[in-house]
Amino acid sequence: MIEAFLEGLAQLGQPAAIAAIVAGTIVGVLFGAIPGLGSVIAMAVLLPFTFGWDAYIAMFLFAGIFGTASTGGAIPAILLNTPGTIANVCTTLDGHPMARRGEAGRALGLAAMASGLGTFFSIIVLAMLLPAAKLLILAFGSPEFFWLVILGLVAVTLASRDNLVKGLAAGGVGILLSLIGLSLVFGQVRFALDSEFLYDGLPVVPLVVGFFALSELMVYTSRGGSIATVGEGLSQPGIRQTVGGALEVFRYKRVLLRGSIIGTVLGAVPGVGGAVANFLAYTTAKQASKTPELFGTGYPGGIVASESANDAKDGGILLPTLTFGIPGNVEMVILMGAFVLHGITPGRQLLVHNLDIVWAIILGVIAAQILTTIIVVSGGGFLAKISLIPVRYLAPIVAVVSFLGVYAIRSNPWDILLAVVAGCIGYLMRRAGFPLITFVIGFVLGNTAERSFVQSLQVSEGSYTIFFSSPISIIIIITILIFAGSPLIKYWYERFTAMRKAKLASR
Amino acid sequence: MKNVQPAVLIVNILLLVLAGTIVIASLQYGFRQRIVPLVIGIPTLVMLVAILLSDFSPRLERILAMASLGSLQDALNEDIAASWTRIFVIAGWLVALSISLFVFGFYVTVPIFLVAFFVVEAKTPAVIAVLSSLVISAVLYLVFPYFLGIEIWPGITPKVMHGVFGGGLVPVL
Amino acid sequence: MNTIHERGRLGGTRWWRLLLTTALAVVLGTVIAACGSDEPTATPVPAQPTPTPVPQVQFPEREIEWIVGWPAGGGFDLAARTIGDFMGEELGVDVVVRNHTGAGGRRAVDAVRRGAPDGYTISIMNMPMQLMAEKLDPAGADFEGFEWIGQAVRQENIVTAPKTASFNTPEEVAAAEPRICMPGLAGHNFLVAAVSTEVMDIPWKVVSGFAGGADTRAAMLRGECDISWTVANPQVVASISPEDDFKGLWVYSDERLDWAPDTPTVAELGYPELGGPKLLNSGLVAAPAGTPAAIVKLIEDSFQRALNDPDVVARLREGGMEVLPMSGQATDEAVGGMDSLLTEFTDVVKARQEAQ
Repeated sequence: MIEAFLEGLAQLGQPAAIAAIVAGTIVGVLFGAIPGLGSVIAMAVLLPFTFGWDAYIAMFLFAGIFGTASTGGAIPAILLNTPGTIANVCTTLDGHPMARRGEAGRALGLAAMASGLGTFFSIIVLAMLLPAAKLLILAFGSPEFFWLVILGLVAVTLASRDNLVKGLAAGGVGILLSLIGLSLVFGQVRFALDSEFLYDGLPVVPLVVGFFALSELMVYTSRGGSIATVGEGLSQPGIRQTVGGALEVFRYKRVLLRGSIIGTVLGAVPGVGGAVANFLAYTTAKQASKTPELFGTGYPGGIVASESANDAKDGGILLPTLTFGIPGNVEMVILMGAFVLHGITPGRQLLVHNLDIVWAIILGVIAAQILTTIIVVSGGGFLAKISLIPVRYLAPIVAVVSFLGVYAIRSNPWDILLAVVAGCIGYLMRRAGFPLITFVIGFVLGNTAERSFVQSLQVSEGSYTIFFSSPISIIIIITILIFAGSPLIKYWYERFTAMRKAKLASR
Repeated sequence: MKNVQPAVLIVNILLLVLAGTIVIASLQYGFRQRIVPLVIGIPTLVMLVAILLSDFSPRLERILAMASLGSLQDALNEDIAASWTRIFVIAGWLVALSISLFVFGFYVTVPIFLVAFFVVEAKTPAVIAVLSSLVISAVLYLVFPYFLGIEIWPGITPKVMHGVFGGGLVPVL
Repeated sequence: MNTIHERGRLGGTRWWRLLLTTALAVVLGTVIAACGSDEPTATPVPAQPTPTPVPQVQFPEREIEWIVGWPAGGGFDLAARTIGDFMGEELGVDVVVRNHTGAGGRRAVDAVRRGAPDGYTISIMNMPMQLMAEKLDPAGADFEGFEWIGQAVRQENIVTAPKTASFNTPEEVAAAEPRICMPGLAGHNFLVAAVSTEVMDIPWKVVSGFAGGADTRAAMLRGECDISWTVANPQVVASISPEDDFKGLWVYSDERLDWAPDTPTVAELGYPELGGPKLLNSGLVAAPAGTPAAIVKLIEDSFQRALNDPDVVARLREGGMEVLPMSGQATDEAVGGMDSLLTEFTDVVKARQEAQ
């Protein structure tokens, strides 16, 4: 173990390794920051370039990309209210109001530092759990997975507090739309109207780009001016503000820790993904906070929760990938492709025969994240200046780049038109008070929930007791009940006492 | 009856149609295949119908507000409201851009769109608009297709210049 | 007959889809069609009725696009890139791999079916699965006239189970009625399992929807399912090694595989009709129908030389794929063999899919 660690560390010192990490980081941050593009495309595009490279160097490059993309995604989330990747959705909620107040630098600093610490936390957890990974993976079967997905869906009710009916309705439509297309568990294509375009279901990237990037583009372009309205008493965004923001993270230690834990745990469960980790961390932070009303108004804690979780998932997601060869998400599928390309067999043999590669990836992720944090904090002042550019120059560039990203996903020109339709619908939904976030969470989790539900029944050959027969399931069910019940009880209790008081007063 | 928000009405009907189609279509499938669409779909439809009717019934609106743990009016996002004409103009730019990308491809559309937007919307002098759009386009092309090898859609027009303008194979819908 | 009737009825839907697509394309396109001059699609090669090679053919003059129906990082993507690099160097132009993902790999088939027959578009298809997909689609588009370039790679099939499983032979498996682990009820592994269970009389009890092979192996260790049909990638090979938890039950090759010397072939177990190349996951390469024979010959020759290059072969083997050069002619015949087997089992596969 120590030997392999030292070997990985020694590899990290090579000039080529440093170059690969720097290149990976830059590409990762850049692709993460562009709506539509993400680490998946970055890795897919660069995979062929690594033909014939030393395996270590290639791994450093990929570690740099997938470790940093969600930090990059925070940049447009804060500046343009447009999440760069789907895992940055909740960063917009508090990051963008700060940017509009002229505090973009502070928000970027917060995001970069929270990301860095989240990654650090999860990587340490990963390193400690590597030997015990088999136990964890064997404990987590399809019924447990089903309940975890339900937990994610129940969190929708928390997120749409004050707007529960519309939030749930939007989430429901999201779930329904996610069922379109080929269901692997049934082997049938449902609701697709015989269309080849819908064979794989509605593509998530054009939808998300339309919903967030294009609908927000309509908002700020119609508003005119620049993103930030720098008024009196507001400091100009600059380096000092960014560094201040970065240091401020340490005032939200509990939020940070909770976000990192949620990110790591959800990351380690294959197929749940960063969007859910991000969302759950944000809603839990809001729920646990003494000042929940501050969330959504530009509250630093919101950014810390969101960004620590979506970066902490990177460590978690490596756990099933490195120990069992089970890819936790699409990035990991490509990473495993890269293993094969370089003659490394992913799976359980990896820890036996290629422990040095495992360490190379772990160290690569840490190095890349440190680099990213430094880049974003030091460049934050400069980036924050984007919030001062008149939107009429910004908007057309954002539009063009978003469409480039949408097309690049699978080279399908129909996706361009779909993104525009989604953009218009997204704008109308926001204007009508239907939260897009609950829709997207429903869309991301809907068919996963169905799959694990049916799969559990296949395992048990039709018996429903399988859902309640393991201790882990029971623990998750109790968490769900607490999650779902607490805001309702709290609200109705408050209302009831208020009504009684009012009645007493009127007498 | 109070004044009905057009956005609320349109979105409501749209979501109803989407959800309703899937719920009805699910009836043709077997038990396990329709259970999730129905379990999720029917409550969703009920909620959407209730929201739709709440515009016409103050009483229903009060019930919904209670169930929503807040007021329905508060949920309307005033912050993003702008005049509908302005929104239509911007949406028009986006729709025009996307259709043009589809038909003529990125290489042709992007510089023309940037010039047009800069001149019409941003009121930039023509020379500056042309120069800046050329620079931006060049940077985009250098980064994406040239360095990274990302495919660029050439458009559906008959092939004029290979891989640049026209001749794209449109996937079957 | 029932199938013919269906073909006709739903053939209509495919028709309107295509019509809609092309109509949109044409209507919008006519605008500049008037001013845009249509460049000649390929170098003027005299149409040759016989496959006599024309050595003076001016090909290629620009990059060749190689369409892959799967995302980058997969096995066939690796094959296309490795072979494409070699061919590119030989032919003096870039062979660019395009990942046109979607519809279960059918966009790669589509690229050949609808692409310009000028030799600048070729694609790799995973057979026999794409053939099955077309058969299951009532529109039933065919592979008639494809100019086959050859077989790039192929993967062996193997059936695995936990070492603790009580069954070994197909008869024992049939008696034990195990739950079959399937990543999805679509794709290659499903096809092999559906056909095999029918032939071997194994009850169809399935647990599906896993995220790939490793996930199915984890599920077998958790006891969620008991037996798995899979292509033999390096992970699978490692999983049946003595220090791991799985055993191989049988393979579909003609002879025993050197990495699994103890695992019998289907022929040894009494099912020779399943053996041989028909059910192996093959990456076959084709150009659109009507591509001039001289150009096909040029591409095919370069392709075959790539598959005889030791570096190319070594790299593909590392990726867990067999390299078994096959001429265009032989590939065409192999597709015919797959076709006749699948025709026999189309209804079985369909029934298995709809059993859920």
